[in-house]
Amino acid sequence: MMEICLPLINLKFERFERINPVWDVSKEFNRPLVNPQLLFTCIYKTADAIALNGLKPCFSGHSFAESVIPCEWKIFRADSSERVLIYIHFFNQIEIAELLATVDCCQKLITVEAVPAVEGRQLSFDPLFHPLGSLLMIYLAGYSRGFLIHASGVDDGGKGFLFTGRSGIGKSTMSRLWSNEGATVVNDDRMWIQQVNGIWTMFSIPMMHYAQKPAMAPLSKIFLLSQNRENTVQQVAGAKGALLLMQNCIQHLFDRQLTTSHVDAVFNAAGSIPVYELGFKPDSEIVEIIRTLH
Amino acid sequence: MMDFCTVFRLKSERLVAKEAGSEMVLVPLVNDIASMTDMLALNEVAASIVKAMDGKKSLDEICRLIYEEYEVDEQVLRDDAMKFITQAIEKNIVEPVVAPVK
Repeated sequence: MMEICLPLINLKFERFERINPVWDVSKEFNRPLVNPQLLFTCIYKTADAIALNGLKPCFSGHSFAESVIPCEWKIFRADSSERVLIYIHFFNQIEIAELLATVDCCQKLITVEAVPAVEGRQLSFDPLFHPLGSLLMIYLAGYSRGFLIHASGVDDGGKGFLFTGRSGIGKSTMSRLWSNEGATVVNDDRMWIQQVNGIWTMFSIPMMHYAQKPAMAPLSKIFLLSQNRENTVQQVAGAKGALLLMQNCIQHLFDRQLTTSHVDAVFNAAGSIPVYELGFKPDSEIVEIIRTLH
Repeated sequence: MMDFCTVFRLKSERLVAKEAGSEMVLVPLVNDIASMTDMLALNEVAASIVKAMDGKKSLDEICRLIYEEYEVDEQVLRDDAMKFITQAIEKNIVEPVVAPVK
């Protein structure tokens, strides 16, 4: 396989230099679910060192304490909105010491340079391994006027229900409840939201740690989750709904153009699809409440 | 000094504003980077204050304009206006306009 198919975007892997690609987390994403609109060429190669030339990061972060891939990452603004640099430094230094991905949305080119932990060693990794894949997809989704969000989503007979909220709030619990009631889980942790032929649609994406299957569903309703003793549903209209939705998006917006485009996309989605605050107790009653919601 | 006689200016170069119907959301930019934790959702009245903020009218004049337009309690309107201005100054997206010394 030399292509990975994301919503509206295909990644074509033109060249691997001293890197043996392993199709792991992305192995199922080899055929498009919708007609691709953009083609990005990807070149992966090894390097002796990464030169950041004194650039200052716009964003930085690190893996969770228990992560199997302990690392820190930094996002750098290049010379325009359409170029972004993603730098990752790995602490365990088993395979890769550090890595720099340059995403050029103007040239539709992604270049990844990886420095082996052991000099001269040939590397083996999935081109979308964590956290590189997650960080790349934030900007690819943004470039195609979509967005990523912390959410689970289910396809209930052609109706897509999205459940968003912070970690531990019950996204996976919700998808399990729906699965027990016959719905198909699209993804239970993070989603790529994209307008396809005028219809806001949710897509599963290659995930860390396990192979996710490609899936999609048109969005019918969006729910902002909170745990509660009783089941409660309250529609949140207008700017408040969009703002609450935006708070759960995965976003590292480093300039006005990116921010404006992202805000437009989220507002468009929240303006097209009803948004609800949903307090729920974890049993199947909530499934029936949502199914009968008008 | 901040009171109703003060003229305020929206620092539009430091934010992205998005209108949703009669409401509005303001996303502050810090060194061009979106500060999502500081976003403000404005109701119809607060959005009207922002739209009327032209760097010339005082807060008092803006409140009067809005009072004429909406069915709102005047004191509630003035309290809400001052609350919004205080919040927006804290988030560095509004500033008082200092008249040039003649």
